[in-house]
Amino acid sequence: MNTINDTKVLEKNLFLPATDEEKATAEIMRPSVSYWRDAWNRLRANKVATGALVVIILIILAAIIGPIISPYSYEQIIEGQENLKPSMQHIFGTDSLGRDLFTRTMIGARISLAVGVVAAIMISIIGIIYGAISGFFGGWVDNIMMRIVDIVYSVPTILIVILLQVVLKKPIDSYIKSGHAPAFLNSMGVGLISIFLVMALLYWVDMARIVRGQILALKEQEYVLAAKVLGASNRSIIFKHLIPNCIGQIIVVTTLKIPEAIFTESFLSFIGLGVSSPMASLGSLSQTALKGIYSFPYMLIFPAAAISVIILSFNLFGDGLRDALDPRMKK
Amino acid sequence: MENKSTLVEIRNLKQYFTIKNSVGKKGYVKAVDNVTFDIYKGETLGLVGESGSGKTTLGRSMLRIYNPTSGTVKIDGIDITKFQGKKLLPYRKKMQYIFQDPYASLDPRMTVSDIVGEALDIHGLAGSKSDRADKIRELLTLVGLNTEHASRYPHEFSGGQRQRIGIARAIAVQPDFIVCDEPVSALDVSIRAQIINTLEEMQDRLNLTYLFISHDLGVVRHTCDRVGVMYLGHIVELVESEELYKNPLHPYTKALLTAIPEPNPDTAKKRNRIILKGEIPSPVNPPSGCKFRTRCPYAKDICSQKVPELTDCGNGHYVSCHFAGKI
Repeated sequence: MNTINDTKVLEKNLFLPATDEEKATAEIMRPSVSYWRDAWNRLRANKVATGALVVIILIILAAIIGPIISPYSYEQIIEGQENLKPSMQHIFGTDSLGRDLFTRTMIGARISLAVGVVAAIMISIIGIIYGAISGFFGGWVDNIMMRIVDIVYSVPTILIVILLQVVLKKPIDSYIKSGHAPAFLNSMGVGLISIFLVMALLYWVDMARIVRGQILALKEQEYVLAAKVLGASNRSIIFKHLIPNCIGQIIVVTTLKIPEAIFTESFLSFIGLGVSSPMASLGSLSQTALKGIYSFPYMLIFPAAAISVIILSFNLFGDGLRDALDPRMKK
Repeated sequence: MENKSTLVEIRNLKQYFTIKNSVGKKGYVKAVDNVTFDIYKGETLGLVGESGSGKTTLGRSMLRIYNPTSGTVKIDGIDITKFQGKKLLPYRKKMQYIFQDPYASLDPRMTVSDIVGEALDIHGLAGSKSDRADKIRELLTLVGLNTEHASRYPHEFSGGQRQRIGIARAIAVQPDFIVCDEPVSALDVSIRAQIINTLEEMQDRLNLTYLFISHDLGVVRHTCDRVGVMYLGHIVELVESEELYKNPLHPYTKALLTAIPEPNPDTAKKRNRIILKGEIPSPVNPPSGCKFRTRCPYAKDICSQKVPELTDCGNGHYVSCHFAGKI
């Protein structure tokens, strides 16, 4: 029996100091990972956000590839096959002119997503830069810039959207016809171009206000003072310290702006100011479907469901992304 | 202090902050009011005083975190008070700041290597990427951190380790002068000694000059060569550290020194504590004459009429009191 009193068992060589290698093995070290790698790992651990991301990717793939591999084209009128119910041949059925609704919904999703994403990016860039400058410099600069925001904010947005669309229609039309316009403008059509212009002009104010508020709070932080003491320029303080520290807020607002832009586009298409036929967006599809809602409800269900799924996924994904991008959430 | 060459020269420095009350009437917070003193090369100058006495503001105006209202700050004989942008940059390199709160002073979105590397980048101190990484590793080892820590984020560290990162950032630009703004007051007592030792080690190795802001008189006594006592934006006494503790001349310093906690309860009972009446007056509306007169047990008429100058009472013992040496 080896008892504690049995000193003979405790040999001296058991109590030698550890060598450096032995110490190194005992040290628990986390492999160093980059910020974005880390964020990605955390995002993957979030099942809801991952699910939403998968749905978004599927919808994007369907919107890009779907119309290409579909046997029908979105403007192709198949005579004698009007108002068909969903079947193996036409998964979502056909509309009153005999066009395949599945293909048209995918094209609609493509347009709606493009409007949402492009508009959200434009809104974010303008809003972030405007808000950051206003918040960082403060004083009278802030005062003037925020009064401009107030003015833009107080404008009834939908009314201006409609007015600007009407006013812009002619110059854009003549610009496209002049032949100098780049090809992508041509394929977008007047309706879409004016939607983008209007959103870039009017929808950035929310983002600007939120970013300004964040920056006002952050610029008094000691790490900003530390950067100042080191001699960092205003520009690098704004872009390296302040904006990265409000990225969570920015992402939440951006993801909320995507569905908002999709809604606006749908609404404008609904009242005939958005995309023009035969081009389709989810909004214009819903509008067309409304005419025959009692006889052919499936025509409304599919585009409406597509809108809902897109918006829900973006919201859930944005939420997950906010958690993932915040290192303080790290467990 | 055999060889007293002046590194930083502060003359009549004033830092007022404009405030507006609800009616829109303007007023000034006189955070630092007419402060004049020198900091010698290689010394540690302590700055003590109660909360709101302007210690931190003084440190920050010296480093041009704020733009001083008036007065001059000279480093190596060059007045930097009016310099802007690019012209100020080489002087930024000479003067650094260690912040009080190690939790707020590190950008939570940057890794340690980026935090320390930013200093190198701004002043172009690293030639290549590998050179930058080497220098960062060197700095981290110097302040007692692991080189593996370079890729981590600040929130993964303890307060003491964070303060070490702050020190590494400050010494990265090879400064001559560092303002340490209560570098240990946010830390556990058990960690304080370690950080102070690190600071002293850095001072020896890199020939640094410190302005050590603190309200902990015990720490100041241990670390500082000379000590300045601040009250309501003024320096009321400035003297070599040992002399201050042995022979305080200003009534405020006397009161302050009796407030140091005494570990031995028997001595504590016998001790004559000077308890000051009232609160520190508002810096928006400071008393006329001597700022301390409202709480001073020895105040006379002259104290409300004349502002006492900071005068040398011999042996480099500066006091601003009309009755210095008489009370």
